Amino acid sequence: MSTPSGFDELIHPSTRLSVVALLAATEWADFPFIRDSLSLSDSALSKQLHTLEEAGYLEIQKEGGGRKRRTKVRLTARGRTAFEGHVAALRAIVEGAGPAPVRPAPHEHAEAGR
Amino acid sequence: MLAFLVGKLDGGALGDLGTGRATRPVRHVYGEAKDMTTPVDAEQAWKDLQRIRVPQERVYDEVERCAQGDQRSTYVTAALMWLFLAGYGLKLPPWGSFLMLALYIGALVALGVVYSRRTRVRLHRSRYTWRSFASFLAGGVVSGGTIVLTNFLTERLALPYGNLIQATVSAGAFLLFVGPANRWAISRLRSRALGDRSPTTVHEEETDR
Repeated sequence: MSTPSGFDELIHPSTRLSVVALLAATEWADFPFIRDSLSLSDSALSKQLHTLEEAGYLEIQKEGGGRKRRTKVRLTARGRTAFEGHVAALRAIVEGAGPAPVRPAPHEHAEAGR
Repeated sequence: MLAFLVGKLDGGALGDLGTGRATRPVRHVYGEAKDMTTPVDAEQAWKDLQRIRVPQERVYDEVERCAQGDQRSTYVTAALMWLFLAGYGLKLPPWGSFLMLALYIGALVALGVVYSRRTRVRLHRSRYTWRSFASFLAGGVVSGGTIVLTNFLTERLALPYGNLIQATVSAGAFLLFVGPANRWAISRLRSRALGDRSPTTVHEEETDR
């Protein structure tokens, strides 16, 4: 069975996948928006962001100072490419032909959508 | 866990014991020759694809909320337009007209900066549609056209307080145009990017696992 190219271990974990998916739709998003949208704690989000930043997948930009300090997070071109490749790999797994059933049965779709 | 171990040992040939599905092994090298293997079957991949939709729905929720809910900046922009047009018709000397124009542009830039600082997220440029650019251009045409037309009519009919009439009609046209144009421009963004299917939340998906 062929290995789907583009599958990315770094963004595969669910929290990181959600973070990167959110950022992929944006030019930038500020830290509180990401935290609130994904229902994460400050520390959990910070940890994931720094992991992705170290990999060069996103940029963290701090603006202002004091109480008006603001943290903007932006997906880099490398991160965007990795995300698109990962999505393509997931689609290839779902849609790929092979001896195994390539799509979940309809009742499983319904369960997953609930 | 057992399926994971089996997937690791047999390379996916035995498949997932729980579902009977073949587990598709994925080998990925990341960074400094760090070699990892994650078994991902079609069901897991499908759930991951669904998971991607949820945070992107939140982005579109925020974009729509900003476009529909932030009427104060629209009123402030219309008020600035009214002041500029009313003042511009006072037959000021050239330096006065330039000063008024500079003040108007400066106020609009300041308003843009304040609005940008309040924004929590900005949609990626690839997600906009032709409607966004069309509504922007149409806004310029409507505003400019109203200004020119009311100026022509007030001069032709020799109406008193022509500059006030021109300013009021133009600001009113701007206010009437902006709301529907914004709604029209953003109405297709979400469905174009994500389709029309209703989203599931992360929590709903996690309870499903």
